[in-house]
Amino acid sequence: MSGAASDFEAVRAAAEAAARNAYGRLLAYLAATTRNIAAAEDALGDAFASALATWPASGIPDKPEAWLLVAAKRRFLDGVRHARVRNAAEPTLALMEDDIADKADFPDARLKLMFVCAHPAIDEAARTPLMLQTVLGLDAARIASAFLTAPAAMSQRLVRAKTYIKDAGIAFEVPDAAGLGPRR
Amino acid sequence: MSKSAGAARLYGMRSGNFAPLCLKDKVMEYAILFYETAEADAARNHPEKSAAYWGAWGAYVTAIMESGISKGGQGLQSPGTATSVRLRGGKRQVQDGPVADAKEQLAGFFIIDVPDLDTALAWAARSPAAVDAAVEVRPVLPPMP
Repeated sequence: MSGAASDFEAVRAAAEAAARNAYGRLLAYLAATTRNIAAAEDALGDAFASALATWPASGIPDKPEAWLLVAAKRRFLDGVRHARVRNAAEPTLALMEDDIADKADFPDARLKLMFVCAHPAIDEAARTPLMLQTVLGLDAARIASAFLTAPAAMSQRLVRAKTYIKDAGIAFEVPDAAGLGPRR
Repeated sequence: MSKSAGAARLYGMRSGNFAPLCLKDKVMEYAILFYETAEADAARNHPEKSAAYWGAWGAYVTAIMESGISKGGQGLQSPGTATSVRLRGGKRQVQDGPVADAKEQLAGFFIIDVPDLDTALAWAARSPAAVDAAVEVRPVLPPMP
């Protein structure tokens, strides 16, 4: 019994280490590729859950980040297919599987993600919380208390901002000189 | 965590996150809706102000058309020329004037094809309406199946 428990502890520690090191980079890459922060968060969260479930048996992978990226990509595409079935009127955009790479050396999109969060059109009260949640991976409750806001209100604010980012078509790019001004 | 996540997806609670899809090179069409104050509207036929009014709009419209981004658009006659119609209890209710009772009224629109919000905003901000009142930039729905 203690063997299994310490195995799980090792796996949990490995997953936690991978999260601390790579959550922001993984999320930024998924979000920049799909332009859908909330869906990327869901997919990545599921990937971490799957890691906790399968690594005890399969062993901790050599490149945990690459494993997580593949798992998150698979879950994202599943979510897309589900949504397509439910929403027949949705634009028939084919999400090319190649659009999301699944190699360990995926590009660092965190700066782009931060600029998206800082877009002047986004509710001012949501910009910094968004950055904390997406790039740093802090949970909404902790962010809420840091900003002396009720957790439900902060959650709602974050959800609304992410939906707006997805729907309004904000590009995941570092803005040129003209665009930099308003985001300071 | 994974149990409830699975259940949530089964019941479609999180599938809302995935629609509509976004791709990095996605084509986006935006409606840019120009709003105008009563003062600006009055300039249309004003002996001294009309040249500047139409000159500014003419230059802007030319720029949009030359850019090739326009999918269509139209200026509108003044709000006073509008008629509002509603169907209530099977009966038609007709009223002179626009639907919204607001200081800023719809004056015209374009549908533009640009890659992202900031490009659309840049075009919207160049219009005379942006100085006078406001411009609304809103993504269009995909065509009905």
